[in-house]
Amino acid sequence: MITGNRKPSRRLLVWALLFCSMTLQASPLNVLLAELAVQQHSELRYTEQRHDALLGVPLHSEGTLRYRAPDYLQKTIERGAAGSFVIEGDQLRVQRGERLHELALDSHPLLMAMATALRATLAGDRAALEAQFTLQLEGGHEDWQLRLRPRQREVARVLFELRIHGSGAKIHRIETEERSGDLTITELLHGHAE
Amino acid sequence: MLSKRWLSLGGWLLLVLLVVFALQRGLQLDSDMQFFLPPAASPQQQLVLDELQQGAAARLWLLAIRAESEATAAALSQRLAESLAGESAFVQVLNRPQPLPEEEQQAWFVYRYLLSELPEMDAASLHQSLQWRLEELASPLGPLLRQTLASDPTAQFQQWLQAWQGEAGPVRRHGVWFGDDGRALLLLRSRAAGMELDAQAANLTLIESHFAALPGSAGASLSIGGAAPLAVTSRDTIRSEAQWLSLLATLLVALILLWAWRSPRLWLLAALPLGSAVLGGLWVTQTLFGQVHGITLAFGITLLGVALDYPLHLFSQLRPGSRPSEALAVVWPRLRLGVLSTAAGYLAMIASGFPGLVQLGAFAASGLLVAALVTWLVLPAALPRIWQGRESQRAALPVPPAWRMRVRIALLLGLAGLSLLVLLTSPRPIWQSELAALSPIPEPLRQQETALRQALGLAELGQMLAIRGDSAEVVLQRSEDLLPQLQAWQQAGLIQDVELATALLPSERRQRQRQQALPDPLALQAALDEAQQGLPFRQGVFADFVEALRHSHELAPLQPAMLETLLPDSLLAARLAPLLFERDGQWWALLRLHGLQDGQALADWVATNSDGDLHYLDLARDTSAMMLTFQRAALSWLGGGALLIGLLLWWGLAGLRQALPVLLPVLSALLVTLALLHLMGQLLSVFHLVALLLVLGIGLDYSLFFQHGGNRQQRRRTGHALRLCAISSMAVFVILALSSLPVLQAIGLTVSVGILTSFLFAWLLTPAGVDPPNKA
Repeated sequence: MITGNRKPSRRLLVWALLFCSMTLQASPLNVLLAELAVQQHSELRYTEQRHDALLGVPLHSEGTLRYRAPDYLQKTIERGAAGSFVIEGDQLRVQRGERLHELALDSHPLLMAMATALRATLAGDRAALEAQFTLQLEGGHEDWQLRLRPRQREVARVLFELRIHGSGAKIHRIETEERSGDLTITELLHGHAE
Repeated sequence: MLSKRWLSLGGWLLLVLLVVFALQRGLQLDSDMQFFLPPAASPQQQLVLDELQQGAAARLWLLAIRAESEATAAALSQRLAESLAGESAFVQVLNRPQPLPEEEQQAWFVYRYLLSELPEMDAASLHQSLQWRLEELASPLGPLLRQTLASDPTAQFQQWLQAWQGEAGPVRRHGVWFGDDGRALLLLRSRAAGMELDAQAANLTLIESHFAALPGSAGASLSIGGAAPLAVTSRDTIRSEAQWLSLLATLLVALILLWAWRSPRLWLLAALPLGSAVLGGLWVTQTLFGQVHGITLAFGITLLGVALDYPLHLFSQLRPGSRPSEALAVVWPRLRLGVLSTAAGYLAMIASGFPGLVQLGAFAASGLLVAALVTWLVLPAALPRIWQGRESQRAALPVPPAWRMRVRIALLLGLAGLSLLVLLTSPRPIWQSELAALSPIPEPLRQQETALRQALGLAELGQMLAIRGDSAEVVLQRSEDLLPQLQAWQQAGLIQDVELATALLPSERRQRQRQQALPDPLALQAALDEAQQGLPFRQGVFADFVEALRHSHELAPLQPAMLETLLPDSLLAARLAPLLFERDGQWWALLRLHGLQDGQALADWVATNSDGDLHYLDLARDTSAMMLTFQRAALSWLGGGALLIGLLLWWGLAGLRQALPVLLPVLSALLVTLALLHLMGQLLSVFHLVALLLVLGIGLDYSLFFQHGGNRQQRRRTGHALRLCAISSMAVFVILALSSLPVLQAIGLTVSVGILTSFLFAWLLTPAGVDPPNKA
């Protein structure tokens, strides 16, 4: 590959860097995230089951999930409870009945981590994900599972891991497993209210 | 003769070296801006002073960063906060609300049923609470709230946390505080007290260098506000302008003297008395008080300006072919009397007991005595044994109008009376009552400060209710008793908000009351069982809750003294420190008022409802009042000094007949100067008063020398000396009067007007030109 006789090492380095960046670009996770990032906004119905040791039966709720790139996420609960939760930037706005209050996400690392998991995945923002979680992608393109384990000790004390399941650019299911063993399964229903 | 001469010079040199050595080893210069406030007359005045100097508000630094985009500003804010957090100079660096650390939340969680209002705990209310918790579990907040759900199903601790978080504060964008104008905001609390200006000046440099070192800060700007940086800026402005003007004035005086004598030797020697006086004054003050105040030094050197006149009088009497001792013999009797009486006048200030005046009096009096001793002993020895220089052949001073002495005296008395009348009947205030008016801070900077404070939701200057008592418990209880009244004021719009200790830490009495009201465990269990009906919670999951309530029954209430033991260096203790503290064996609770609309209404209410334990404090108002007291007292000490001088003159000149013509011009000049300053629109401050002290000293010398007898030649030479004194002093102080800074302007104006009137009045009383029989 050495075509000239001057500074061969530098040329080699350029090639190596180019090669590395190509492989990096082409990693399955990057491909997946790039595909997810294409979607600028979405509105999906969801159903949610929370299996909690405090409860005798799983807690069921359902509602609508809205996303707008890059950082707007709204969860409206319509059954099982009522309320609207909007995450925009670093603010979480909670509306329950008449009461509206705001929370700063960075005062609550746990909420911040959970918001990042969903928002950054939808936005295809690998850097933001890596900042908070160790990532592990399993399965094929049509049936993938992304495991996110929190890096922060404070978060990891409560949250064990998040598993996001999907096929292609569609997310089907999110499983949130807490240290306590409690498990929340959120199913996203495509083709309903898109 | 030779040996005596060398003894004088050698002794002087040795002393100078010794003093320089002593000062170099131990000179403590400190600069505390409140030095010229009177000592506190009451515990609440002490509190006002402490608050002003060491209080929480005085330690706050407000920072604002503007960059090309808000995202950049936010990133810079974050990096600056991280970088400054490592500095021990700041106890707190915030660019967003400070969350309570996990560990600390756990520490106070135990006390949740004692710290805030108890909810209803019947079955229906519990059912409602559980319903809420269930909905929360289904929400995105679920995993967070799940942590304390089983042990705190009524969310009792959330109530207390809300009190902790307090008001919303500035808006947050990109995670950090932002002002309406798009600047990222930071709030710092310095370790150094607000008025430790040297430490605060170092902090200013520290912040600026940290900011400059941040990558990307080149295109951004940082504004810094707060009481401390403003004071530092103000001091630096005064310092640099004073230095610059003094340099100009010194050059001018040097030129005048060089031109007058055309003798470099005299020119150099003229500085000896003043220089020695400063050293002597410093040494005496340092020895007596252990430190020398920066302001004492600055004002003291101003007062010692009189000493510049001493060599002028001596040198003017030098005749070719005569000995220096002959010249000294002409001036010394008057000079001695002038020095002694002026020094006595300054010493009178020592009796005032105000720390600023005491030091200033000691410094100036001792300095003057040193200057006189140097003029008496050292200067003649430093001159050639036989003076060979030329005698200056200046024209004599014009003779005053040939009115009868009685008419001239009546004229002066009339002017003095008129001035007194002007001062007593003026509809305008005589005194400066605002500290801020004396500060050289330009208006835009002041406005920026106000804007920053508003953006961060900080009170402008402390307005508060202060409760005093024998124990923390007493003042906490009293604060709680005030709560209904405070709420009424809040509803009436009189105040916006109150920051007080009991919101976070109730009195023991209140905590015990809550313990009494707690349901007993069995009843609670029954209510809980009923409340769980129809809800999916498992039986028994709330065992921790029942146990916590049972435990709360026997818990010792949380008291201020326990905080440190339970959790060292807690944020709670830090938050409470400026709201609840012990000082000199007394406990204080401060209720800091935000958005107070009508201070007088509050003051009136307190006046009728206090048993002497409740005070309304307004730092600005109260310090103004104290400053007024101080200024009035200082003026009367000035009067006392003048009286003492009068007595000394009476004794020294052997009779009232001789003393009166000396004293009258001085006193009239002081009164006329005061009246003129008032008519010029000046509000009198402590700086005017210090300047008047100098006028007193200089005027006395003028008067003494104008009254000086001697032969025609000697009087001509005296006139020459006096003219030189007046011209050089005027040169210095007119330059100061031209300054844009209120402090320098006050001093410059007062002294130049004072010197002019003193000179004119003393000249007016010059005795008719008859040679007295006794030839000098």
